[in-house]
Amino acid sequence: MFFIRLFNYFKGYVAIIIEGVFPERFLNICARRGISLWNVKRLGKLSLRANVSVRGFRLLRPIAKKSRCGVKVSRRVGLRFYVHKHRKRKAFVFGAALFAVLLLVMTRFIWVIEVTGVHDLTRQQILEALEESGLKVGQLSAKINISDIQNTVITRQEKIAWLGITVKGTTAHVDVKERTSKPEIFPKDQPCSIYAGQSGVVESIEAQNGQRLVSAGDVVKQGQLLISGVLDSKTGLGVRYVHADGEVIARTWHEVSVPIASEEEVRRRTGRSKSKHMLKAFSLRIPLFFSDRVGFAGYDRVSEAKWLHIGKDTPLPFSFHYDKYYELEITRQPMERETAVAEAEAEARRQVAGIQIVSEQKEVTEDTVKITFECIENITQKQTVLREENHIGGEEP
Amino acid sequence: MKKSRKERMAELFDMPKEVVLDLPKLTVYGDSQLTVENYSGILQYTDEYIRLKTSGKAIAVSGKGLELRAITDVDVLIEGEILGIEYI
Repeated sequence: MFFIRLFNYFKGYVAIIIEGVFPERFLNICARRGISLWNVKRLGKLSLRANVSVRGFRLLRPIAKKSRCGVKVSRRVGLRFYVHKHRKRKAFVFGAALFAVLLLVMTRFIWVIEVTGVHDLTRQQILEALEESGLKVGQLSAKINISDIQNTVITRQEKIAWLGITVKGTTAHVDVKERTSKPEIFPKDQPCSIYAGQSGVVESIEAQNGQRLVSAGDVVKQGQLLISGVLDSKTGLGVRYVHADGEVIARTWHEVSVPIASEEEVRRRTGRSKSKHMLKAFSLRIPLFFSDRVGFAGYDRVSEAKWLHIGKDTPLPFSFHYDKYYELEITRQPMERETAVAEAEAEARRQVAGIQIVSEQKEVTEDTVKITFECIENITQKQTVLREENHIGGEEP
Repeated sequence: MKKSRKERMAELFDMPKEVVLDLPKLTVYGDSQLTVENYSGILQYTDEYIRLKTSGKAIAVSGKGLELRAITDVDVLIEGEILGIEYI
């Protein structure tokens, strides 16, 4: 029913009053000529009220004459009558037209760029890279060539592995996949030897290529040659250079000492706060405050922004920014020893993160925490073999 | 009453009678709404009494606050409190 009414409102209709001795005749002729009437109601002995479409109304005059009825318009309903009534109000019409045009124009641009998936890079870096490649706030969305932008950004910014751009309304969603930095790999075709990256006691050694120089149980120093890439030639003449490869697992000791803090910084909100509001239209900032000064020595800022939206995906370049400043009282307070020690210990542990710890020995003095970690780790470190120039390939059998 | 040949044919072939025999078809919802299809004219309309012309007998609807919700050349929709439907 609601939709029928809405449809009728857009089409427009006329409520008429039919007066005559025999209005049934009027209804019959209307029906026969295909003019549909609805909501016909008896008003009195000689009169009826009915609704008729605008198109049907134009055909009523001869029917009224034929059925000897009088037809009066009692009400006009519909959009077209509303527009007709207000057509002389220039400012109103202008405003309505301007609204329609602005709405149409404004929704053709990108107003918000949303970036997801950044960890190591910053949002700002991504935005800059995008702007260089042709996607920025205020851009016509029709002019965005997504695959072009993706390609340029990926080639220019090495840390980005993949970039997904979806434009929805006035929002561009940018999904970034960062490249995980590869561990430095020694080129496979270059000869090298394996040295100890860490002093310790060798637990096991496995040489896939090269000559093993130490065995399990040996104590090695940092920088000591473990697997040599220089082999005696099979013919017994000269040497052969290979790419040494293997794994040397050793028991190592890491001594980490962390100073114990005696004081800590305590930040507490004093309860005083200030709010600053700002309107932003395009890049124009309209502050709704007089002085830029916050007036607090230390403060926390909580910012919020609300955008003017049309639907969910179509924000417009008008936003309301709401900044709240909470005054902070920053004091240095003596720290409780227990927590300070625990914090220092956690810091020490953080320094050996990723290494397998077998056992540990803690030593707490007045101002430092010293922990000796006994670990099991791979201590191999590849380095180019030092060699004389002539020995490349020449003497190989 | 003996059925006409046309009526028998309509029944035999399961055809809608209002089309074949040009009969009015009435659809009544409770006592509040009545649709008359295949009528041929409104003979009388007041808010307590409506008479419709059909190919056979006229249909008289009595009630209270009757309105003609919709009128087209093939059907008419009556709303209001219907008290009686008669063939005269």
